[in-house]
Amino acid sequence: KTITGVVIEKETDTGMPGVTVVIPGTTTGTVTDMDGNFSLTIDENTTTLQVSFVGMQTQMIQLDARKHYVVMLENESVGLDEVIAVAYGTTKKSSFTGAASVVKGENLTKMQSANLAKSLEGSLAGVQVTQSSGQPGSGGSIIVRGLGSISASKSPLIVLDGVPYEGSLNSIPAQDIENMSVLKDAAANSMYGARGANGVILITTKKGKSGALSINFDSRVGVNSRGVPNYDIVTDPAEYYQLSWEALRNSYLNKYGYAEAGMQASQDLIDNSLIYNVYRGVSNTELIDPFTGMINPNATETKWGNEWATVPFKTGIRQEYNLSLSGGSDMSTYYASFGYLSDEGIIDGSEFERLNARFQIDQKFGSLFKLSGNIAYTGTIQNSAAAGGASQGNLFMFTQSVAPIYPVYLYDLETGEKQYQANGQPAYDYGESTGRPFASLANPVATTKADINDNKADNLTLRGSALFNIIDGLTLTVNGAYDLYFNYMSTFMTPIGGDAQGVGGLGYKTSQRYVSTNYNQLLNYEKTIGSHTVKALLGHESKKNKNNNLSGSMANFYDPYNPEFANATSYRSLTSGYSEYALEGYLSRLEYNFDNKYYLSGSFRRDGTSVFHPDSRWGNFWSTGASWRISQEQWMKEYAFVNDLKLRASYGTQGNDNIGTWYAYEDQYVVADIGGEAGITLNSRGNADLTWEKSENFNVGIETFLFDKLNVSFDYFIKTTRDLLFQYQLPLSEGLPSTQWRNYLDMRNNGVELDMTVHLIKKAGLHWSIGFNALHYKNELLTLPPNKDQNGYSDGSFWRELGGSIYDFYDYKSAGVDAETGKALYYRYEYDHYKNAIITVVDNTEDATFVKTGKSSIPDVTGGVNSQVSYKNFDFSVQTAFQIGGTVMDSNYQSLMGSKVGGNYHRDMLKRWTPRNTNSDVPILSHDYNDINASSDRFYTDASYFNLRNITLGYTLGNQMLSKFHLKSARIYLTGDNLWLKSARKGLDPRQSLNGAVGFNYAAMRTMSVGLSINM
Amino acid sequence: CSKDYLDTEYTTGVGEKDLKEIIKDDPSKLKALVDGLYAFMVSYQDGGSHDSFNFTAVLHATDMMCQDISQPVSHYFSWDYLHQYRSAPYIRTAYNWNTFYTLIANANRIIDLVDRDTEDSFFLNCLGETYTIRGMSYLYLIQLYQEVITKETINWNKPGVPIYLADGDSISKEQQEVLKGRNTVEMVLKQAEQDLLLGLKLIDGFDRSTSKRYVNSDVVHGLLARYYLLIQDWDKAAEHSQLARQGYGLMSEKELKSGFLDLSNNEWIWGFDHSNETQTTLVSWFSHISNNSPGYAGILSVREIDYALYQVIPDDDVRKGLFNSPDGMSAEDSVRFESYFETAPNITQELASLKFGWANDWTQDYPYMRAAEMYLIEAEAYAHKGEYAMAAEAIRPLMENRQPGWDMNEVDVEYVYLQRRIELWGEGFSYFDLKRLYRGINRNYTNSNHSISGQISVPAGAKNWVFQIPTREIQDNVHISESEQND
Repeated sequence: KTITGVVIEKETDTGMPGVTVVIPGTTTGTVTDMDGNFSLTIDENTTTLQVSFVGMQTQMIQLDARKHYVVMLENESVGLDEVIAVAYGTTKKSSFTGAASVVKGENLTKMQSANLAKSLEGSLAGVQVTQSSGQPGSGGSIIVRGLGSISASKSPLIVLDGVPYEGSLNSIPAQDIENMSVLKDAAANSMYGARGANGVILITTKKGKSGALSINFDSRVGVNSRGVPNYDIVTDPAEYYQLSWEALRNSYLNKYGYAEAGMQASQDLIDNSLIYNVYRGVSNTELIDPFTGMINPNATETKWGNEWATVPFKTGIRQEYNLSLSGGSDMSTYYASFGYLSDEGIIDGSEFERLNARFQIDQKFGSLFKLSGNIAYTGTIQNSAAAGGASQGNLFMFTQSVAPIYPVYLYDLETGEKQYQANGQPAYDYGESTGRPFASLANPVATTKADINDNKADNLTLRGSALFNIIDGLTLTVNGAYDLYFNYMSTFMTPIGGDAQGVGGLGYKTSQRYVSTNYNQLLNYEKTIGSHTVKALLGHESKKNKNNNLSGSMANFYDPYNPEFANATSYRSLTSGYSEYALEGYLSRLEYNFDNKYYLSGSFRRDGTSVFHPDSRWGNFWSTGASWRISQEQWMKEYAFVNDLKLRASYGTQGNDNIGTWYAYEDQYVVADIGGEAGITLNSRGNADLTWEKSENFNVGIETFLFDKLNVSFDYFIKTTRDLLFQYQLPLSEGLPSTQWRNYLDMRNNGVELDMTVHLIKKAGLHWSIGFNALHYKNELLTLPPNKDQNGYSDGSFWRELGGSIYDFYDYKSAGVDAETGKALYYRYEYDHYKNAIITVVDNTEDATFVKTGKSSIPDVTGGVNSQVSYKNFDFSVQTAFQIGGTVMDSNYQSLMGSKVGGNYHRDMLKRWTPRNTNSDVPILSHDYNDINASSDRFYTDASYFNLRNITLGYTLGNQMLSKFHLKSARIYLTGDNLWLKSARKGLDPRQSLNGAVGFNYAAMRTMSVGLSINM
Repeated sequence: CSKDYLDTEYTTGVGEKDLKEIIKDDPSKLKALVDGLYAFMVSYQDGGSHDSFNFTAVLHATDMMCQDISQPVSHYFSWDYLHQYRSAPYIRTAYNWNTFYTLIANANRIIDLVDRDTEDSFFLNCLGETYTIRGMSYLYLIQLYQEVITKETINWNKPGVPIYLADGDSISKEQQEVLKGRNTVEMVLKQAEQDLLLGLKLIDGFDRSTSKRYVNSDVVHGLLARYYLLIQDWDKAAEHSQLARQGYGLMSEKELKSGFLDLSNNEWIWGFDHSNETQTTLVSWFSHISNNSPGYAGILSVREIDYALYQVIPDDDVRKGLFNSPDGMSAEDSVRFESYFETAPNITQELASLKFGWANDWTQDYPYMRAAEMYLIEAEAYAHKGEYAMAAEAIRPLMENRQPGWDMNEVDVEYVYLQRRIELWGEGFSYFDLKRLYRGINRNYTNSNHSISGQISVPAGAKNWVFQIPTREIQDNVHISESEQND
């Protein structure tokens, strides 16, 4: 028989196109047309229909004698009754007393970062993401609700399918994720009490749904380019020669007057300084006019181009394919997926590849017993270019720091003729044969191509659980997890040039086997009597990590392109080690709910960790929470515009033991090989008293849904961290290592976060919503280490005082430039007997003093704005991230405002002090003048930014076409990541760190792709 | 879970408790901690730059501040060369400070591991090495962080540096704490002397036939000779310098020109024999001092001899052949060094040093103390006393070797000092000599081969010659306040 029907969106009362209607457990089904109508031929035995659409709650329709059915679908995210993952289970959002945010898998899949951490930027309230490198596969660091710790980890605990996960987030493909929950307050977190102080991220992977086999295939192909440009550096050789001449001339002023120094500088500029004269037909000594300092007007034709600006970068290809199959029956469901990702990055030698497979099955055995299993394999190969730091192999540093007169390839300096190797390939210029004064021995284009920096990771995760219904309301769940990570890292520094040429090439290999096992046993009880519902949980958890590693290095490689030790002749080093981490916890939770209006919850957990001494290793963590669904009250019914309203509050404690070492309570020595004898030196200082860092969390929040249009969630939190795991700086005179872990300092983060969504238009065929989230917090020190001056003390480049933040900068304060001499001026603070400051201005850093600058790296607000529009078959979404306030110490800019022979300048150097331009804030340009760019607040820069994270435009194909190919749905889309970054200075990416530091790191990538998704 | 579930295994290092048990079971394993001292001296500091390689980096950085080495092309050690690297926030002063205070801390750990009443000669010898290294560290520290001598007066009462002692020194914790401030020059000098003398006593009978990297009584005598020369106890300086060189020869011309890279050299009293595992490639002393090695000096930033110093070396002095002339490399040397031209092109530069050589795998040994220095100390001691003939006799064996046909009957301090500059060029003595003899530098003269910005004059007694205490020490040491910083 044939039945017909219409699927209507409940909120808008309009028909929905593209909705899947199937008979569960079969392949029989259809998709609604543009008006939401469907028609399906079924046999007489069919009793149910399943109606589903992405983002909507799936409906099961019981068939009866009717021939026409009206199905109302409800938006999943609108209902407060959605089910969210929480610690050791799931709960309805309405009954949850804690603070949590959820991001759905489909939003994550839009992003093209191979690492989930980066995908979270700007998408969740209370979550801040920094990313130091744009390299494919590289991660970001996530912090939840401010800076939880100083020296210990600030990262949240990652829990994958109920079990803590130790691997990289680049091993979890977004396509496998059903949703990610970020648990933020004590009520939500304390069950992971031991290690939840920095928040918990729960990742839930997809599971099968009973019904017909559903096959999804998604593919996308795109191109990468730089998402952050170079700084505004000098690119014109003439401009560079003029500046470099002046720097040379001024460095001669200690010996000569201006005129003579100028003549000497013109004589020396090429032959005794820069070596390379790019201009054809102009002699080395006549390049710069010694009196005017200007370039010779005949200098027009160059021998080679500005190759460092163009040669190193490429348009890399990114491609990704994912296939998933799911389905099942009432008793058993399954989900299987396969994926492949390949990303070439934007420079050679920075590729990322991922292959992944997952299989998940749920099997019921009657009503008493259920088994689940999840097995996943991910293999990744990441080849990292040496990018980051001051290494001369770092292309992002090199290409901005090298003068625009030096070429990538080797040329005859006189004739400008390009030189070739014996094999016919162009030869690279390492600066060695020519005597290039900048970064000699280095050519990062050649070496990043020839060098290898490979990390092959194989990641196998096995999760199993068994659930027994013991008696009505009482269940026992046993979860087990075995995660195996195998990493094989190979580093090879080529013998053909660069640092390792002298030793015939240098190779390192590290092999690591990391096993993480986790077991928990949970006893759950739930009982409802009238309006009273009680839930209780008792549990035990044990966890162990075991890490084996073996590493070695060899030099002198026979075949210069073969990095294997079989090809090397000179032994360098070999070492191995084994270490373990263990955690054991006992947990309990009690929840009570009256009439679905009033909710109470409480939890207690006791944990021991192997990181600390047996006498200090156990900690107790607890929480309590309450919520009130005001909208359920009778008297609220007259306020019809309030669809839902909930108030909640919680308080509790969590811990942190993540200090990067698994063995912190005893001094550790290392054994070195001294010509065959053992030489032992102290490697780390232990502390037997070291114990848990504890955070106390207070949270009040309100969640509401108004006018059928507006979702708002607003939270106020106070997070106080006590006994911070702090890397205490001993006086250097105690000898190296000069740090020791101690439980010093208390700190508070308090702030507010807002998450709102407005459904602006909900009309037939047209939806438009805008979401906004923001976090503001204040970070404040409450106590200082006992040995330190309680009025404040300096810790490296930060000032620590009560009421100040952990990232308050402490530095020289610039007082501009001396108009007479062009020297940089600084403030000097001295204090008289009454502690009054006597402030003077001095012209060198040796006499200047460090001062509190009053600036901090912590931003005023971070957050994101996003918007989604769907119109008929089109869908369009925009995601952005922003930060307002905060300061970065722009050390990249600082280095470009210095002067060394052959090094490049920022174009702000054109504003430098000269005898004719005495009113400048840029000091006199001279080589050999250390204070020209000495670290000071002169280089502090506003850390605000705005980033267009992602734009996606999709089109869902019409019905007639699809049925011809037996497809349920098909969508083509264009998507672009990291499309635009606006910061205070061109080239500056303030997202690189929390503490205001930046580096010449691998630039964030812009990726634009075209994709196709089909479902059958 | 079982009770010991949380007692985990950790095998990457050796824990304090295990270490004590290992040594209790097999006392000979204490030696590894003493070897750790020598290993640290040639190691580099975590996160350090390529100019951080501990002991020899201190020697080279201070050498670069003086007259005798010219660095015409800026590179590592340029800020030292330009006298812009001594102040508190810069890393150089922290490198220097860390080098010696880590040696002191490690030495104190060893002292505490040994039973105070032991009479076992193995333990006593280990302690002898350890005390010597500690004494030497204080001797260097006080010279780096204070002007010990003004003109000819020793500033006994000027502020010195912190003194860290071990429980094994029979000193209470409270007394130890008090010594962590600046103390006086006198206290630090006395500590150095006391440690060296104790080292000498304890090391008696120590056989170091396995390697000259170990301190033995010859080395202690040599350090004591340096110490007494500093505090102007001329007789003791002469006495110890004689004792130190017993049994050592002087290099032949061929050996002199063999690159100063082999510890087995008969003239060397103390040094470090590098192996594949200990060498640090570009982050090494040879990388910076040897124009002959494919490192920073050989390729990027040549080290030359000061033109004026070169000019006063007599033509018949063999040591003149350790440098290129102002006209460049001699024809004879061009043949000898030809194979290096490609890998270390700077070897051919005018006035470039040819003194330090190259081993293919960067395993050149480090020289710390040579017999020649002891002849020079003895001669200088006599000269200071006005015994010029004695001085001439003392220096005679060295001079007859270096300058065949040399025959002088009297030499004064000035002459001996000149010989020190020639003989010990580049080996890390010039800064300490300048301060000891209260000299300055003047690199600005006609035909100077110093880089133009390096053509500076720094008079004796200028604050440049005293390093500031590292910022982090001032920040973290409660016993030293900002106002106690060196100018």
